[in-house]
Amino acid sequence: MEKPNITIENFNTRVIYVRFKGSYAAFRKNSRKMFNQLFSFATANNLIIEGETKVLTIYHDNPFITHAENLRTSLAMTIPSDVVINEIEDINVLQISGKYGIGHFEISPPEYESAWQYMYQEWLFKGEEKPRDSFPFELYVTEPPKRWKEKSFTDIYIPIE
Amino acid sequence: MNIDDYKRLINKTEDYIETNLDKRITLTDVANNANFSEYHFHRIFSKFSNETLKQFITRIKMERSAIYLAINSDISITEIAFQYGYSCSSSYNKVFKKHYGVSPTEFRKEQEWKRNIKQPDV
Repeated sequence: MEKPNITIENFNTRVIYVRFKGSYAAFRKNSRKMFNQLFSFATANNLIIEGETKVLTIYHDNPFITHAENLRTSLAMTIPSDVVINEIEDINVLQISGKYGIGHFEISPPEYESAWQYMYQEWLFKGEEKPRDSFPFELYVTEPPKRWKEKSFTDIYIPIE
Repeated sequence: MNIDDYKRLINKTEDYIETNLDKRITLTDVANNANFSEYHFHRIFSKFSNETLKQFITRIKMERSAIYLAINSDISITEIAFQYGYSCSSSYNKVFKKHYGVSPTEFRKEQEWKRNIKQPDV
């Protein structure tokens, strides 16, 4: 994995999401189904803007601390700030805002863990920035690859003060 | 109300707790946030959840505070107690110890040690 470029930015967006409770392995098994549910909802409600809409995975808990069966992970999709959403099924709306350290990565699926490790161990813990009490997430700048060795652009957002 | 409606209600309540960690959160707060009466909220929550609302709020707060104290070694336990809506560090310590079996200080040390050993595989 190449060392990422890291920027510090204020990020403010509104998302729709579906939340999963359980281990990360179980989340990965369910994520395609969750994505399809979000995508159908977004399509039916004209929420998708080509070239602008992004998909995110939000990690609300930490596997060091929360039991695997209680880990909460949300699959989210950015939506315009001004539309009225009628929340149905288990789809909710969430506002994400604040300051973030953003690692800009070009990585393949097996490199995600090292990318997260890098952001916490090398960047946050050894750097000057102070963590903010909010959830981190990854944002898929380009579509995540379907093959194990293909790379895509993914940004990792770490909330900071 | 079906299971999806309940999940949506839980999501909304979790989001509310996570953005109001510094407050003492009551049934009235979470019911208002979900646009439900207290009676209706309580009835639905009790029907589907195996925790009481108080246990649920405390668990979310304890888990979030545990993450925060583990990744932020500069912040004191007293500051964390205030940040999570506890009036003093001793009441926070008590709830934390009941939840995790160790004090926040001991927990922080354990996490620092574990972090340097390996990533959990979940």
